[in-house]
Amino acid sequence: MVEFGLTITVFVFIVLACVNLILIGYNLDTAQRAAWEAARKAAVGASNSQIADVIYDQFATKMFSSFILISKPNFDPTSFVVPNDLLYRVEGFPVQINLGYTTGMSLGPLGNLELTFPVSSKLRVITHNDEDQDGLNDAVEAFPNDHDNDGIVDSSDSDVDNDGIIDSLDKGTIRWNGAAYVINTGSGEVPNPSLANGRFATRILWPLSDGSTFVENWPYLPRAIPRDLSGVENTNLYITVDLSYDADNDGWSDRYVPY
Amino acid sequence: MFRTRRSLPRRGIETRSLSESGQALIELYFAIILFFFVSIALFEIAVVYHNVNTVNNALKQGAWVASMGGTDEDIAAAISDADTQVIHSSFFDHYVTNFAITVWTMTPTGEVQIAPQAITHDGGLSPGRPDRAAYVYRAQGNNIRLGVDYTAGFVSPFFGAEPVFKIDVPLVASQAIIAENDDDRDGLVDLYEPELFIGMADWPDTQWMPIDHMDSGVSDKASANIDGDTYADAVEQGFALYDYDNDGWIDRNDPNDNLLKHPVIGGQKITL
Repeated sequence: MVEFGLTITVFVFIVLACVNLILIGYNLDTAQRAAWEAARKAAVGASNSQIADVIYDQFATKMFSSFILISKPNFDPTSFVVPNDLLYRVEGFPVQINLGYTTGMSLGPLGNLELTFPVSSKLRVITHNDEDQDGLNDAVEAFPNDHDNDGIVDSSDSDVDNDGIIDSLDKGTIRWNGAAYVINTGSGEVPNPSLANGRFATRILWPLSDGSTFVENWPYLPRAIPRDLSGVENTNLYITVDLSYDADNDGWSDRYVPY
Repeated sequence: MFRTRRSLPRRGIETRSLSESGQALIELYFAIILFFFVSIALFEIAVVYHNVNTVNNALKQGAWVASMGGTDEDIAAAISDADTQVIHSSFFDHYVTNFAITVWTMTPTGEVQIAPQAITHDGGLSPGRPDRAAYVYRAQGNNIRLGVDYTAGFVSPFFGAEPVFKIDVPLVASQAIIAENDDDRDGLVDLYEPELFIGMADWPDTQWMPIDHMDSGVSDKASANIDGDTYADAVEQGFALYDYDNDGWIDRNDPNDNLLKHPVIGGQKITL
């Protein structure tokens, strides 16, 4: 009888453990979905409170908990969105949600046995919120349409990046010269460490057949410098780039090194 | 008699109790071992479930980065973020293999994979790997698809470093490309079109034009008839500008007569 009682007790605990594992799995899955949804909100410009609402609606109110199953979100309000400041959540840059899920078992007077799973989700901001390409969110920036913050809005500024070269002439060519990636801004080709990894991050100026130039839209992300069918860099391939938003003229727009 | 009747059953009980208690101990011992293994197995199943979920989410994030025009390094970094969330256990190895990037396009007959292509040229294009679509095919509107194999392998010290058995879970995430990188609507990323054109004997460098739907040497901005059909651009609207046979499918997705010449496949019309 005692053995039977013990067996029943062990079985009850095993069944409870199984149920708890299933519930923990469900909760963790819910937490990850909430973190992902929150990251999507952040990627389109949501504020911290709106993101927190997502966590509350999608996770805190949907998770299972019981008198023996501890289940709760666990995150630092000051760092659950990185960057925490809306000013730096800019088009093309990553935003990450850090959400902890704490679960465990209540041992009554002995306290709690807890385990926290880190849950995070990272996306890139896609909302167009950096008109002046300075790496700061225009909506919360003091000078939203002034790249170099010199008091002259970009549409009226003949030298947007304040590098001493007027915008109509502020351009250069990038190519592989056989030994290194070089940039030529009019005074000869110079290797630049910013191009050493074969990537650049500024607009391209396409030459058109009527002699005019087509300025492409702002790229979201750095891109790889193209090669050719030989599989390696091509010394004959030039890319003309717009350096009007690139104060140090290295092929990387200033937004990647914010003012 | 009464004492005897009382004592006999007692001795019987004591005898049975001694032998059965030993047996019960052994049963309990096996039961505990069994429960221990069952518990470990349940825990590992939960871990695998969690890890699959985590890697799957990371893959979706990678697809998102890819859809914005990210490089392979950006995509791999997004997927690698899962390392911070994957739970590693003592009995199972958890790892990801066979990372692949493919590009698909929607046609009237369904979705078709267009890269990587099983041709020699594709291997020479950025990023130059047979398991990853060349950048030139990752054009706006196409579908980029990431795949990995997540493996959980049971490792025992008694059987060496190789897993005794393993579970492979193929994971896939896809996303439509939203990067504005195909201004001439020919299904090729403008920036990487020179990869196809430069160096090809029948396509001299001087003829290459990135914003040129038909690659005719006249840029779309200067052309009066971008798609070369019987209608001037002035009387065509919207995407009809890029639809040679005016069937409602822009040329880059149209497997029919579209006049687009694909340099990689020998200057012939694109046949999807």
